[in-house]
Amino acid sequence: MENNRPKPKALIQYDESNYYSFLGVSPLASAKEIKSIITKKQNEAKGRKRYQISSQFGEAETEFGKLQKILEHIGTEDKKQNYDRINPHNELLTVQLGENESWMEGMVQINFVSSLLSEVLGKDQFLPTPSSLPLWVPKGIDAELQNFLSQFIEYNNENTDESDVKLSIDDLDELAKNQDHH
Amino acid sequence: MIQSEKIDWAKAIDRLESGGTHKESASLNHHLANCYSLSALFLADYSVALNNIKKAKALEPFNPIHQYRLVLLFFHFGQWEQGRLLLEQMQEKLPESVSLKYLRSMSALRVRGLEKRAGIIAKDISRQNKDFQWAAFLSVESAVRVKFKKGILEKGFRSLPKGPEYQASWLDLFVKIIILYGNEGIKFVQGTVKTFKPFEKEKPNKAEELLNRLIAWSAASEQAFNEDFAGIVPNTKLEQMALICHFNRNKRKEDFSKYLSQVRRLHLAFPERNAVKRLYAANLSLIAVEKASKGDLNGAMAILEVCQKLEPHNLINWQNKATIFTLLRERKSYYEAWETLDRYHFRLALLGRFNQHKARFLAKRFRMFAQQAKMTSSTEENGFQLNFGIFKKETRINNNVLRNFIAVNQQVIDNDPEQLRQWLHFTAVELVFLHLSLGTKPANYLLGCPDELAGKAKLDALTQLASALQVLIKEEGALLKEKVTEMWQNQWKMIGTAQADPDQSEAAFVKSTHLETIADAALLLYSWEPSADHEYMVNELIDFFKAECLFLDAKLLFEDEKDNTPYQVSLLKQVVIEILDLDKPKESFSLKELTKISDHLCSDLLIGFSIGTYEQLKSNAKSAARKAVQILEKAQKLNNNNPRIEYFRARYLFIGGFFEESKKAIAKFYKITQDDEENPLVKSIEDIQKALEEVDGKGQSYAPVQSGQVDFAREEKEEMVFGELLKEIDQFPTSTQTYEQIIYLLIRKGEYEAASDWAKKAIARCLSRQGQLKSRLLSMETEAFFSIKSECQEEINFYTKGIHSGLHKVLEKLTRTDNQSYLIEFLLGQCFLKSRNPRQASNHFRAALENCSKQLYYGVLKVLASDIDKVMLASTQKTVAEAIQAKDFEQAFGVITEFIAQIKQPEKGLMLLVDTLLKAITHHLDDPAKIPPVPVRNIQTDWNPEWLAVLKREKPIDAVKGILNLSLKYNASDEERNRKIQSQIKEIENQQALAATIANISDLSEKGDFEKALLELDKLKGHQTSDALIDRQKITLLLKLNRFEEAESLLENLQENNGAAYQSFLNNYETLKFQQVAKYVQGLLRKGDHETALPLLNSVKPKTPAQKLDLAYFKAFGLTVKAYQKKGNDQRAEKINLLIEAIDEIEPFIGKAKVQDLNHVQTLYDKLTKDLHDLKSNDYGK
Repeated sequence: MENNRPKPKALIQYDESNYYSFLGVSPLASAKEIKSIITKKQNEAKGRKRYQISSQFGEAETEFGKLQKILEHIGTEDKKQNYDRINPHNELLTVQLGENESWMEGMVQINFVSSLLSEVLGKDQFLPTPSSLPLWVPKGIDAELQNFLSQFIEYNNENTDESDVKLSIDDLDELAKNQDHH
Repeated sequence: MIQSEKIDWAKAIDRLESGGTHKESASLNHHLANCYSLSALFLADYSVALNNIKKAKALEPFNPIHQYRLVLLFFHFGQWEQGRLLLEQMQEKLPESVSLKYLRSMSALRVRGLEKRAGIIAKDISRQNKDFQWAAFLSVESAVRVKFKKGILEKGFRSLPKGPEYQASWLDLFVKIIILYGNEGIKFVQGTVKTFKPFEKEKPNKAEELLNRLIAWSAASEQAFNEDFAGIVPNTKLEQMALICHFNRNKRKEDFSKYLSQVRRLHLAFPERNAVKRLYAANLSLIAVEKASKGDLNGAMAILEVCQKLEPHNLINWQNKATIFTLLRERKSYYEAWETLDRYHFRLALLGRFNQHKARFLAKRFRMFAQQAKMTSSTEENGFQLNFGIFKKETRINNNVLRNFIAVNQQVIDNDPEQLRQWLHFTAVELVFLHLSLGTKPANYLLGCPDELAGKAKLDALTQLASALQVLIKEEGALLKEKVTEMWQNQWKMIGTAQADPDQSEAAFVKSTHLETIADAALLLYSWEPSADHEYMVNELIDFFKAECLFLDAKLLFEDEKDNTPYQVSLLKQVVIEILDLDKPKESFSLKELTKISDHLCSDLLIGFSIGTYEQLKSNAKSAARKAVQILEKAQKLNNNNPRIEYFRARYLFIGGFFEESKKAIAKFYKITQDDEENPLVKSIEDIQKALEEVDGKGQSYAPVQSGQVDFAREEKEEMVFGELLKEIDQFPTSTQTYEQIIYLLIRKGEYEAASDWAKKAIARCLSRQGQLKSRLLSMETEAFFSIKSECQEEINFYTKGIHSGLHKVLEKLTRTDNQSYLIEFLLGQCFLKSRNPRQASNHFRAALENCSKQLYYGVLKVLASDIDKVMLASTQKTVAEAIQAKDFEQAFGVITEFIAQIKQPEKGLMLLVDTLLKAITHHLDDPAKIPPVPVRNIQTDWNPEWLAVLKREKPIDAVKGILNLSLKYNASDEERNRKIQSQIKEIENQQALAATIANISDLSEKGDFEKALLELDKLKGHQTSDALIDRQKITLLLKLNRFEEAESLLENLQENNGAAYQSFLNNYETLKFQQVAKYVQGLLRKGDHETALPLLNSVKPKTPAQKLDLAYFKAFGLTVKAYQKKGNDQRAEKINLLIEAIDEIEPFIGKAKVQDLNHVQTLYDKLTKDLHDLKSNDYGK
């Protein structure tokens, strides 16, 4: 038993007394979504307060207060992150998509557009991406340096296809030359 | 602009570093610095890129461009937060810089909620710098990101500049609109293109073509999409973009399952494309998430299993599985899943895939487990409060006020002690990761250190906490601990002296986590009452607290209490004030003070532990008291000035009969409490004093017991299982082993009468020959012990626990009476037998037989005296079986060869050695070098030389054969058994040969020696390996050797004999063949060998459009080579026909080659058409 990973009889259990369960929202929802749900529920509570009967007296106020408390704890991304850090099981015990799947969101997808264009159209294009060369040289590369660098340009026969084609027209010329020679 | 992507930056830098062509050193330095920082954009290795910028900054410290490029580098590698921080610093110094403002706006666009802010910055740039028109695009992008408002967007587009240099920026906005707003976006984009005509008329226009392609993907039929997709180069951003369009187009559709089938088909069509596999897995994950959210956990699990098969390295699948097992409460799977997940994360960390963010993420998971063990949530089930944690909430009335407290949940720790260990080790690992999240600066990860000594102590404390890593995951945890502590130590050495207190919010969180943990642990030290069998947990808790206490932050502890200040923290504050005797709060604690706090609290726990141990074991008061004193001595080492320790020592020493030591403890108690006359323990001490006066002079001297000599906890634990043994004997009334345990236990308790009764019961119940022998032996032992118990009860106790040396010594000196003489001889025989001395044992058993006065024992003694070898064999077999179970073959071999060397007929032990050797060989089949050697010992027989020669054989399997032969030769053997062993040997040899061949094949293939690998493969036929598998391997090797015909015929063979294997291999085969043929024909054509090349090209079946294009190119090339070999007028017509044929092959692919920039295709085509034209013109000329 000693020095081994502890394996108690009691297993982890999902604690439903958390803010997300109270709101009926996924712990993975954004603070913005949560805020809008809270606001909606607060408005409903306000509405109920107007028409409450005596036996329900105070219920709407209590609910409103609780919602306000939740808003204070998870109403912004920073606060939500802090709450999730202290109470990690809400997030960890939710079946979720991984970081690899974040591209499914439109906002993540569009962050990727400019770098795609930079790859397809070339780094020399001015695009709002850190891989765009004009951003790195706002005043351009000075002529003397350009002149110097031009010696180091490699003009290889680039082939973007998946195959490994090495035969070129030069080979054909070489063959023709050899045949003529013979 | 220069073709920057094609520059060989390393060479350029190298030239400049070596002095280059520039004469002026200032200009040289400027260019070198420029090259350094600019090359960072083109480097794939972040650390090299970062280093280059650092070099640039070192050369030109006052040139802001390098710092600016550092910001871009951070952004480029996705470290947006770090980049933004640096950007802010730069902006303070250069508030008017347009470039910096542009970067600010660009980076703000990526933060949700800051889109409008980004737009404002962009507008500001446009207003102040009318020439810098790029900012206008950012302004429109901000509007695009916020909401689709046609009017606003149209207005924005109207303000944008046009021209070739702006085409990419227009396209950038168009693509973003299409992605975000689907069909509505497409319509808008098409309208905008028509209205504003942002693309130049020249054809082909790359930007416009790309836009049209994206629009087509967003509306393409499945077939059309798949066809176009086939032409996209794998693992490029374009491939990702195509899949994004594919996904976006379908995600809005109601029938998601139809879409999923489509993605599945795409995956089946392109199984080698990782991006498609990821898309498929991601869509499956979406469904799993949906199912889980609706409570269909089993359904979600089934889908996750598929995801895991598709992407076994994606850890989110493992985490989701662990989550589902947790929710389903499947105990075994739950533990396995979380453990596996931790193991993978540790492995990734060991491989270097680890950073501060990852550390924070991992800390959360360990916190979850620690929290679970700490205290159950307030959830109530069926109206009952659940309390599964080591702490529980309690409400008490204090000064007429109802107050909430936290108390130690003694019941849980007693019933489920692993909960406490879970809290301890998971908390320790959480803290380790939290410290790692603080970075590599010692001042940060040590949370500040006022002096070097304190820093070193904190380092040691972190090392202690990191030990928990290997408790959670043995191998990987140990390695990770080593790596992490080494990193901390090295950083510490480099910095040398202590740094200032860190100031960061992350540190505040870690500090508060420490405070809460220390307070929890202190509560445990204060209130937990551990029992005797919890010694290991007591030690673990003490080690943990000693390390943890060094992170106690005085400022935080003495902070004004708030509503949410935990009860434990308030309590800790009081305890600290008391221990350090403080009259006012402190700003910081010295190392000495922290040690004092931890020692004090740990000694408190040990006092409680000594009490608990004594209470639990007090049925044997003397040994219980002794054990309690031992624990108190440990407490005394921690706190030498505690009257409670002296009081309990005096008490237990008195109970143990160590009166002199008890008096000394009392004297020490008075010395400590001389100024404290009102100490509540004084009265109790006086009672002990009175008792000591009554028994004065009758005590014994106390000598501290060496640790490990006697395992008291185990002894008493055995007593507790007495009830269980009784239950066991009810179930198995003829188990002589259980009788032995019961009888030995009663003997240790001094209950001889009961022991004797049980021995009689055993004789009456165990009626087999072996049973009778064993039970009579037990009865004789009981009688023998009873006769000498007054002389050596302690030694008898040891004997029953397997330690016979003490009793042996006593028996040698014992004066015997006639009646007990045979019993003593018998016991001496037993002692010699246990010390593996059969000759002496036999002598004593014979003496016992001669003097025996009881008929009942004649039979037993006769067996012992006459065939000692047989008795020895039985005991050796038992020891060997235990050693094999523990995989300790070295011990097993040692015991057997010792036995063989001792017995009269060594051949009797040979088969035991054969069996054991075979087990060792089977166990270490993958690495025979691990099999320990069999010790070489001489035996007293004629065949000793043969025996020694056999033992010296190099290969264990050869030794087995030799020993088996010896056994056949010198021992009457069982034929059936021999046959079995022979077949076992054969099987092992087969497996060894198979393993060697497989290793050889992979070795040869890696070296490129395919011929030899092929020959080796043939050797595998007939082994258990599947022939289909061998055929597939052979086909692959034949292809590598360009022996295509043989490969084809073997493939046909495979189809005939194993259709299923053929089908699954066929697709791979065609691709492999294509690649190999492509490689081979290029060599042939280069040599002009079109005769071999062209038929080969006709035999391949291209699968992808790219392969189709390559094939056409090769065929055209081959036909051209053939055409060039036609000389003279008589072959002119043939030459023309061949050139036309070549053009026909290549022509259909010209369009595609243009789009994909495949220049070689276009060049060949141009040459062919020109040559054809020239040939024809010559004809006309003539």
